[in-house]
Amino acid sequence: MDKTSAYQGLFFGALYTLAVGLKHAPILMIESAKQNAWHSYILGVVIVIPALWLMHRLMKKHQDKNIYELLSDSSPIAGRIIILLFSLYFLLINAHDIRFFINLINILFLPRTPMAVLGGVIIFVAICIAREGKETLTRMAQIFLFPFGILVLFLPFTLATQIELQNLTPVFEGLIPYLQSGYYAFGTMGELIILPLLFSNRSVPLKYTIFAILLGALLLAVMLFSSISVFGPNLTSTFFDPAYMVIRQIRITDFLDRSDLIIAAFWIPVIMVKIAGSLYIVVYGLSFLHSKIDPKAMYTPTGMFSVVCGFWFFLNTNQLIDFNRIKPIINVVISLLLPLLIYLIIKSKALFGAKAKH
Amino acid sequence: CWDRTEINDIAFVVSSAIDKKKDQYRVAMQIPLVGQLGGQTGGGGGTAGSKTWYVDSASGTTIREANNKLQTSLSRTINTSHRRTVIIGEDMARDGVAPVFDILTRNPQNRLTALILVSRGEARDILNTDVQLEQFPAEMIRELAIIATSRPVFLSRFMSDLVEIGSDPYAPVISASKTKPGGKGKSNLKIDGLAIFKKDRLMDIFKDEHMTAALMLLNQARQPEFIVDLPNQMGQASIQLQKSNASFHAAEKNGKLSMTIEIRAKGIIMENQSTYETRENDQYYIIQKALNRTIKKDVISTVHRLQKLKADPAGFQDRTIRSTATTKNLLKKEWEEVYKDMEVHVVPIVTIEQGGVLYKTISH
Repeated sequence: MDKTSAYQGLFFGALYTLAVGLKHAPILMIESAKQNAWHSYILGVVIVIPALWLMHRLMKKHQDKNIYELLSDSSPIAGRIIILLFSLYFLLINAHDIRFFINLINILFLPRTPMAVLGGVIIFVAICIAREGKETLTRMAQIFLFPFGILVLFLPFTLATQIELQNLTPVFEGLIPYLQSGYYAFGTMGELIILPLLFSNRSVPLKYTIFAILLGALLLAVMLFSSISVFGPNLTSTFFDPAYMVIRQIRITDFLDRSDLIIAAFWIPVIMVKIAGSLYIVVYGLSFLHSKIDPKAMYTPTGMFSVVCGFWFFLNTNQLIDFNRIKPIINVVISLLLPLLIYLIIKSKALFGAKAKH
Repeated sequence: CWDRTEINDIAFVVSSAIDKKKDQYRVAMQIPLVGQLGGQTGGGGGTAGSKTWYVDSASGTTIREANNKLQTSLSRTINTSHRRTVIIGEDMARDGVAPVFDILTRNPQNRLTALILVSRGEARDILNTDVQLEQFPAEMIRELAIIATSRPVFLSRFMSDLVEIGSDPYAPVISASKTKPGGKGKSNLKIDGLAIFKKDRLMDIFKDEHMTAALMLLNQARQPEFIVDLPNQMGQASIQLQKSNASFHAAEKNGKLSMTIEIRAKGIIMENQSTYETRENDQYYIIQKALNRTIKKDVISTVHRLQKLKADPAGFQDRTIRSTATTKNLLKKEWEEVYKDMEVHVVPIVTIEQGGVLYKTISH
């Protein structure tokens, strides 16, 4: 039984969607829904909630087991195949996030440091965190999301003099672009399926999982609201990193205009926790595939493989953004169809198992 | 290890000036000489001479090429992360400023909170002007740019106006001047108008009452002042508006766009050179009416001038697109045609709240 509290699970879930979600998906969302992109996160949330509800319904009978444990108990073969699919999904997400993080550091802070060195340092830290287990992960999420989340929530106030509310109108201009933006938002929000895979219903109940997705969506929406209202939708979508650009606009006084470094200092650990979380779930999933797999021995090779995949799958920054175009399609399978399949497998096993007993 | 740089190996650029000469961009940079900034006991840091700042320029077919040429003559690495102002030369502004924005945005060192200004004449000359009140010209330029408008015109604001449909950019104009102490004057800098752009091209520079009215239309006027000619040739009064707000209502009348501009403000009598008695209510209201008339006249004439230039910094097109009182037929027409025929109605609702600490007018 893990010792994760519901609040820690909530913070981990919100962090998982926010950390990287604020970077590339918003560009595509603004290209579609322009000034309305910031509230189209609602669509992403609405699509994911039924899948989360379905997972928690399954876990209700076995309060101390997460979905991976339920799957391996009820259907060793089909369950392992599904766990493998989830592991591949989170490996892909991790490869993207590591490559994104390397690029972020390379572009903004250390342009001359070799990318391989950056990748090595990042994955070393991620391995160290992941090896400590999910309690450490969720505690780190609680520590680091709190200040970062507060800073994000205060963003509209610190940018008040530059915000042009006119940039956010007209509201609801067209249904199709809005749906398209919601589709990209789903690409980010769908990642929250990680919560029921890792945590039992007793440690993180459905209510807290829904709070996690709502908190993540709120913080993402505030970030995007700030970007669009300060720059306008067209200019925002020209930036590679709208979130960082808007943070750089903060000017508290004439001589206190470098607050971006403080915010970046809070953001970087948040990304680190997400990468470690993805690494943890990949290894956790692998440990279900064969009884002889020792998770402790798997973190380093899996981590190194994630870095290699990061360079292998994403050749340049354009491909990092383009990944967000196909991610919603992947999420349809991973975050919607697989939960439905898991539900059917476990329910049918339970039904047939009960009949066989009779 | 790879990105380690010593602080005394960096040249912090505080201001850049960009001009265009035929097909060449000329970039000038101002770098403060840190060793000279600490007063008489200063020094060190590898700087020499009496000036507290250093300006150099170079030309190239692209702005980056000019920057690279500048770097070859500097023993320190150029760093633009502390740049506060960017000045565009008048000729370059008339030619189009769009090429500047790629490099100003692409390099992550650059900040979009740098202030943009247009210079009368060459921008490089502005950086070379000795100023009297600040330690180096860039600081004077920055302060002037901030007080020129109520919300500073950052690169981000300028670019947003440039990229978004429905409004054109604007920027304060700076020029070199001379102080007049009686005797030999010294060089100085001053805000010398408001640059009005159509897309990325400078169309005109507004000064005096047109500058004030344009800033009011942009909701960018910082305590604008009006010198009002009072009726019956009774003299003049200076009235400062504490805060003004222009709101717009676009409607369609007989197939033409009709723009109603409502200006709300509260004023203070700063100086009364007339024989009107501010203590008497009826005379007080005469001054208030005259002020409203002056504002209306100035705003109408400014809008007409903008219409002639086909420039739309106030965002009339944006208001029209967002208006519910216009038909699709009007929106389908070419904006320039619609704008040219636009009817303007100005409704000033300006009240004079107080007259300072004088209760009565001091009689002449």
